[in-house]
This record gives sequence, structure tokens and C-alpha cells, in this order.
Amino acid sequence: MNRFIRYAKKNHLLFVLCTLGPVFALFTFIRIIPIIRTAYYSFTNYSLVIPKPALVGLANYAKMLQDPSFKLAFTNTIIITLACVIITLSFALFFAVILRRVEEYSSIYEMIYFIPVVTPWVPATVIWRWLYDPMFGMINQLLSLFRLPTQSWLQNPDQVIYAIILVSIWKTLGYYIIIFSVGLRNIPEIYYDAAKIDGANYPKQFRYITLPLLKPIVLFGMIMAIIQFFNIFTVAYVISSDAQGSPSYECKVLVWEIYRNGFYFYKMGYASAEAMVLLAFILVVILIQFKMVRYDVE
Amino acid sequence: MTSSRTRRKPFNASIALIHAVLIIGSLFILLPFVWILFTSLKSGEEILRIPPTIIPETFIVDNFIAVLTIQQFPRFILNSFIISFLSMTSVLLTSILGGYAFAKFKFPLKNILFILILATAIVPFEVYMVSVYITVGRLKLFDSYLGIIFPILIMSFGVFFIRQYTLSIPNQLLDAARIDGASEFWILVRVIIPLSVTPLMALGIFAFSEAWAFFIWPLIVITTKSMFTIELGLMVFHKKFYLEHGPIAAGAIISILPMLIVFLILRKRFIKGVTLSGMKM
Repeated sequence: MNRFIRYAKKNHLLFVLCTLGPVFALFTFIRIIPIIRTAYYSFTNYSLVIPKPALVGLANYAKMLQDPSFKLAFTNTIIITLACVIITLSFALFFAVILRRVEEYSSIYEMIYFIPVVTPWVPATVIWRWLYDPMFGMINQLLSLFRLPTQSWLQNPDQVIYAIILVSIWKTLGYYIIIFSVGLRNIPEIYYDAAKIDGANYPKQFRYITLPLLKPIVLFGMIMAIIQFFNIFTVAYVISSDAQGSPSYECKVLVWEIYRNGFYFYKMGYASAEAMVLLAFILVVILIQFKMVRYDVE
Repeated sequence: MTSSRTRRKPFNASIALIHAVLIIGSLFILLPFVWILFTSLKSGEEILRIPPTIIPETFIVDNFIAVLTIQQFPRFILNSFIISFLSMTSVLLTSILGGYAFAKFKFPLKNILFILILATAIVPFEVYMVSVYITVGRLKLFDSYLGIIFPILIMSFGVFFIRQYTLSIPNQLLDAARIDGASEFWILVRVIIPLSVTPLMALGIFAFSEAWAFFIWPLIVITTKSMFTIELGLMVFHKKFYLEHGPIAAGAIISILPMLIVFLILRKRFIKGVTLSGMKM
């Protein structure tokens, strides 16, 4: 007992208990238990309407495979994620690279590109909804200015998804430009000097110096982007509205399905199962990234 | 140092081309804001004119007045401020307490506890919101500030971030204070926190803007209009009165302004925050 007290005193255990104790209790209560409980609910028919939930095994997961609404949401989410990740990251890399050639002005451009990043999703989507307006929106005005056919955008079920992708690229581009810029600034100038002496032109410098040295940052950006876009919800929710005047078609996405089943139909068990699919997808992506990083080290 | 001098050539066609590309990109970024600003300053009649005017013929502020008086936008903004401030304070407090403990002390189960906290960082809120909703319901916290900030009282990333930073504070500094008879709490308040102002500022900005933009959770737990955040208020207003283009544009601008002003004032810290840590906005 005495030894324990001496050990505790030497390591200030009381202090740790007073500081970390409440913090860890909060983490347990707000994060760890809810995550575990969601996993458990996914095997039950938990619902606010049914007083006593019962274990149903894999029934929720089996139901998902038959659910056209879920399948559509899943496909849409994959399409949005793929398109946004590829387009946003390539443009971000491109802009970050050319910004390095006008270094003295780069902070101005970086500031401009970052403005949509600090704009929350709701006003961002509200702005774009107005741009997409078939009659009075700026996009169709620009199209007709260049004598291109105007589009019905949100009122065309096939075009809503493109509208969402465009808003998402606009909103997130600046963040990835900053991330890539940091990576580029960390590449020692001396590599480029050496390449120039050897007569390598810009494309070659990019291919053989920039890209390999930037790979870890690109991988990091990719993982952030995949997780971010796979969780997409607000833009899809706000852009599709059944309001008066201008109806627009909804684009089902995964988180919206969780929201709808959980808080609209109160099918908490089924919503939890869908949430588990979301989690599984993210874990797979992170695992793949770990594998790629390890492969890199070897 | 010499490289910047050699790179600044008198006039260079490729540099001009780069600027042209960057300016086109900037237009893509800025035009939506300009368009919504002009829309908000037009009269209802002018908004619906064909062909549309670009710059308003007469600048009016009626739309802003309408949103601020008829709709409860000032109340929504106040709610957003309260929620963001409470969340930020709680995140800063828990991150410094937890981060410092993990960085500088030895205790049983330390690694397991740290891994548990880190592991929750990769699980998006959308995954377990159903479960949090049930908890908050049992605690009867719907439609309350505490209910809204409940899931954002803590941030796993914050604990990790502050731990990384406080690790770099030399142990000799702490030992010197201990020899002088300082208590552990005194060291935390007088040594650790003053030395961690930079990361705490970055984390604070991040936590505040995260809370400000938080949407799906308020959408679920708030039903009373007086408890709406600005995000929720704008969404409901926009869905209900889609045809009121002018006031909606004004509402969108009002909801962007606070974050935009904070960003323009602290823009170096914002961008530094991202570069320090890869925080996701």
C-alpha cells in the first residue's frame, strides 16, 4: 500500500486523475459508448415506436441489400466521392504547383481560394441554388451569353448530382490547395536546382521530383477527401427541396438515408446498420492508405 | 534567398499565363459571392427581370431589414455564437487537460486510453448520431444549448494536437518549477498554458468554426424556432420561402459574414492552423 502511495506521489497520479479523469469520462460517454451502441443497435430492430427492441441478427444488413433506396444512395455517394476526389485533388495540385512560380502573390490567391472553405455548407448551397435557377440563375445566363444550350439543372433528376459535385469542388478546393502548398514548400529548392543543371524541363521536374516527394501529402489529402465526401449530406439535403415554385429532385446520399430512417421513420436499428456500412467503408479506406504508406517505406 | 531573386524575371509569358489561370480560378471562386451580394441588394421586381441586370439599378437594403426584423435572424446568430463559444471553451479545456496529461505523465493504461481516444477521431459523427440522439433524449436535452453542444464538448483531434505540442516543452522547465515548490495545477496554469498559446489559438478557431457550421445535429435535436442556429434558420427559411430570392440572399450573406470577418482578420492563423495540423474545415 505504501509502495503504491509512493508510486502515485512520484508520478502525480492524483493530478492525472483530476485532469484526464473527467476528459476520458466525457470521451467514454460521448464517443466510445455511442459507437459501440450503434454497432449493437445495428443487430436489433430498435425503434422509437417499438417499446422493446429485440435482436434480429443480420436482418438489417440483409434488408439493405434489397433496399433500392439504400442502393441508390450508396451508388450516388460513391459517384460523388470519386468525382470530387479526383477533380478537386487534381485541380488543387495543379494550382498549388503554379502558385509556387508566383510565390510573391501566392498569399493573396490562397486567401481568395480559401473563402469558400470558411463558408459553411448551408449558405454555400443556398448561394449555388440561386446560381442554378433555370430562369434567373447566373450559370444559365453565362451559358446563353456564349450561345450554349441552357440546362434545367436541379429540375432534371440526372443533373442534380453534377450540381452537387460542382458545389463540393468549389467549397473544398482551397483547403487542398493549402495542404499541397505546404508539401511543396517543404521540398528543398536544391533538388530543382540540380534538375535544372541537368536540363530537366518543368514537366520532367514535376514528374521526377515533385510528384514522388509529394506522395505522402497527396495520400493524406486523398484520405481526408474520401472521408469528407463520403459523409456528404448538407449540400444534398439543402439543394433538393420540395418547396413551392421551384421543385428540384433529390439526390439520395448515404448520410441522408441514415437521417431519414433514423429520425424520420425512427427505424434506429436499420439506420445504425447503414451507419455501420459508412464506418466500414472509412475503415477500409484508412487500411488501404496504411498499406500504401508501408509499401512506400519499404 | 537567391532563388526568389532569380525567379523574379522582368516579364515572362509563362508567368503571365499563370496569373491568367489563377485569375480565372479566382473568378470561379468569387463570382457566386458577388452574384448573391448583388441579388441581396436588388428589389424583388428587379431580381425577376429578364434579361437580368447584373449590377443593381438601385441599391436597396430592404432585404436585409426584412430578414433581420421579420425573421428571427438576430436570435439565430446569437444562438450560433453561444453554441460555438461554449463548444470552443469546452474543447480547449478538455484538450489541454487531456493532452498535457498524455504528454508529460506516466500512469497505468496510458497507451490504451490514448489509442481509444485517437480511434474515435476516425469515426465520423454521422456514424453514431443515432445513438447520441437516444442518449440526449433520455437526458431530456432536446431543444437546449447543452443538447446541441453535447457531441462537440470534446474533440479527439484537439487532445492529440495539444499532446503533440506539449511533448516539445522541456521537462527541465517543469522540474525546475517543482523544485521551487510549485503545485501541479500551478505549473499547468502558469507554465504549460502560456507556452501553448499558439496551438490553443489554432485549435480554438477550428473548434469555433466547426461548431458554427455544425448542421446535421441541430437539424435533428432542435424543433423550437427560438433555439435555431443560423445554419438551421437559413435552411428552413430557404426551404419555406424559396421564391423570396432577395431576403434569402440577404440571409445567406448575414450567415456568412461572421465567419468571413473572423477569417479576414485572422487569416494567417487560419491558414497556419491548417498547415500546422491538417485540420479539416
